[in-house]
Amino acid sequence: MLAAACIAGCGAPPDGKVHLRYMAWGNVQQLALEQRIVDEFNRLNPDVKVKLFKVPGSAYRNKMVVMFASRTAPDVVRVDHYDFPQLAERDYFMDLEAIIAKDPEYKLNDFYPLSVEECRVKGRLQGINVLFGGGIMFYNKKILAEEGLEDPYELWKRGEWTYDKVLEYAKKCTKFDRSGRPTQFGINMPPMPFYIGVLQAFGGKLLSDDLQKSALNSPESVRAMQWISNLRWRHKCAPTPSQGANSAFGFETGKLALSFDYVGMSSRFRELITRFDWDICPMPMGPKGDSFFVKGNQLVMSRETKNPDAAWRFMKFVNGPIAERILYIQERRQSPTRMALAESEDFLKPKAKPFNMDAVALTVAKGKILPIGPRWPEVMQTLGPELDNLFAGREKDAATAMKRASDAVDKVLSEDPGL
Amino acid sequence: MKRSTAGFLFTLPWLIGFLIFTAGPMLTSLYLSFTKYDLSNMEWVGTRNYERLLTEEPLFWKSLQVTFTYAIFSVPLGIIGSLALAILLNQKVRGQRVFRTLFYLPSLVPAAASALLWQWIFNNDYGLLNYGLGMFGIGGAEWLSDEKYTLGAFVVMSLWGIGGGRMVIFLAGLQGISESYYEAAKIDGASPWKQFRFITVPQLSPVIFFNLILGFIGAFQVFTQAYIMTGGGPNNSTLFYALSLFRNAFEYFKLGKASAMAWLLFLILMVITAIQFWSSKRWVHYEAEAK
Repeated sequence: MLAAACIAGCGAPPDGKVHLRYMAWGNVQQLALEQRIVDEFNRLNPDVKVKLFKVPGSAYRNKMVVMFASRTAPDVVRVDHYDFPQLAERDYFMDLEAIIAKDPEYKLNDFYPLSVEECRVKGRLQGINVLFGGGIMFYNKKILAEEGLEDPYELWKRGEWTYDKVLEYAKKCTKFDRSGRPTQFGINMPPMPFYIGVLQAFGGKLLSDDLQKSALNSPESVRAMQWISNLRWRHKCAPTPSQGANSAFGFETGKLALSFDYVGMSSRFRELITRFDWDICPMPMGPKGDSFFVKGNQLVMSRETKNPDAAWRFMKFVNGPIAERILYIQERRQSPTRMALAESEDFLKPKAKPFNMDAVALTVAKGKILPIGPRWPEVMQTLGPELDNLFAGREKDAATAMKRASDAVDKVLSEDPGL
Repeated sequence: MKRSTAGFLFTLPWLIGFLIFTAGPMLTSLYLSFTKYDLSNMEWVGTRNYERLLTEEPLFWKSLQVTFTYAIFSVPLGIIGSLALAILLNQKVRGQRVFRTLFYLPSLVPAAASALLWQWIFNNDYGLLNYGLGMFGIGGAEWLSDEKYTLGAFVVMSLWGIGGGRMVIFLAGLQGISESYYEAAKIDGASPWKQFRFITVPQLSPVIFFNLILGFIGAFQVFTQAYIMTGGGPNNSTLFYALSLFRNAFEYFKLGKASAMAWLLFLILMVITAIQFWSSKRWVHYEAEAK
């Protein structure tokens, strides 16, 4: 009887609601926002109860992969775009095209086209975009003023924010003490995927358009990578790995003038930075164009969900106007994916730092999608040692490093993906 | 009920657990090692994964070389360190229990936390190690970013655990050696070194043997530190076997290849253990044999 009661009880929740699980990761601020959105959805949808399933960022990918492979994934999952194509290839996610077609409230042309495009794998729309945005630069106004340097945002507006200017700024803002130890750096090394933006601005590429071959060996790519390497080893205006370890020269310390980062860092900087003024500007122009790139996270519905209708209602809510206002206009975790919101006064004219939000709007409107395909982890691991060599100064010549990197990546991509 | 049936029933929960959680996955992975499995499609490929690993995969051999080198240095050093520490903590001095507790404490720190701690210690510019070396006029090294030093840094870090379980086993072994041997040796005029060489070491040889086997198995399973501290870099200089296996399985979704790697690791450890058993006849002394 007890077993029968348990089975009956387990089958239908006693509150009569549809129960959903939503899996996400993030820092303290992001998880607090996720909870706020879940609470708001639960309040407005009394027939559904969403439970936020938080997993630490360091374990997130592994947990997610195992859950999808074992068909125990939560109903709705936030997936980093780095992992999305690889998982989407395996048909773990519901195809949303048919669901959206039946929903008159949801119109794909309300969103930035690239934010929709990024969610398409094998011709199927397998997710919707959240935390969509592009790379920008933060700058420490105090350091720049001390060096008598003009505001980069003003330079950008005049079309003078170039890689040459960035280098000039970075060199002027780097300081050493009497013993030769650095006390302040001009710039951080552009991490992945920011160096893809640099490649693009110099006319180079990471991979060919079909993602089947490396494009790092071209003269333009080599020039871009050499520019990055020189920041650290020739001009010594970017911290080495050990100097920069444990965020010793993080932007929030006030010891870094220019920083490649996402606007999502703003809420953290607003909380931590009290001693200096700061703002944002777009990434610089290069000899062959801009450095704008876009990247989001995908909100996906597990193919195994028992409640696709309720799951869709929740997903729609997370990139609906209410949640996008919380996430992107109030907290500016990234850019809204809805064009109307991203172009609204509320987003472009905020009352708190950063003020130059059109840098984000411009990046999102003009940015390119990153070359992330199903074999992205292998490409990155293969590239890693050669980039290590170049960025750690063991190999000073970018042409040599990129030749080896290209050969290694081409070899991996030519092999059978499953073996 | 027969005694044997009762005994079987008592062991049944463990047997069921073993079959479901150990034997089942092992047999599954053996099967998978003969397939191409990417978490969605499975295709039988015979011995292709093994052939590929042994003949076409430079990173497989690199990871083996890294792991072997690490094991060859870290296991003997760890055993010598643990034994030395156990001998010191076996001395009848005031505060003996406090010392034992203090030396055991580091082994209670989770591997991930100690990896982060060591990351600071090895920092080129602000790390304790380079600072200490600098006090003696010795220039520091880029411990975790220069491939010449990374593996050495991991060996040094492995000594963090010398006060752990291995030391406790040595301590128990030392306390099991009869005082009468030492008294007889002293009467015969044996120096402390000779007492150690001809009494302590032979008497402890089964314990040393046990620790040696477990040490090698443990060294081939190093994962957390490399995953957190270096990610296998720089230039794959810390690409430990377990990390390489993990990447193939959970990052590249090459479950067949990763399973083949797991079985090759099993075979390698079997061979190493067999060699140790074979050599043990020459240097391990059991009390039962003496009788």
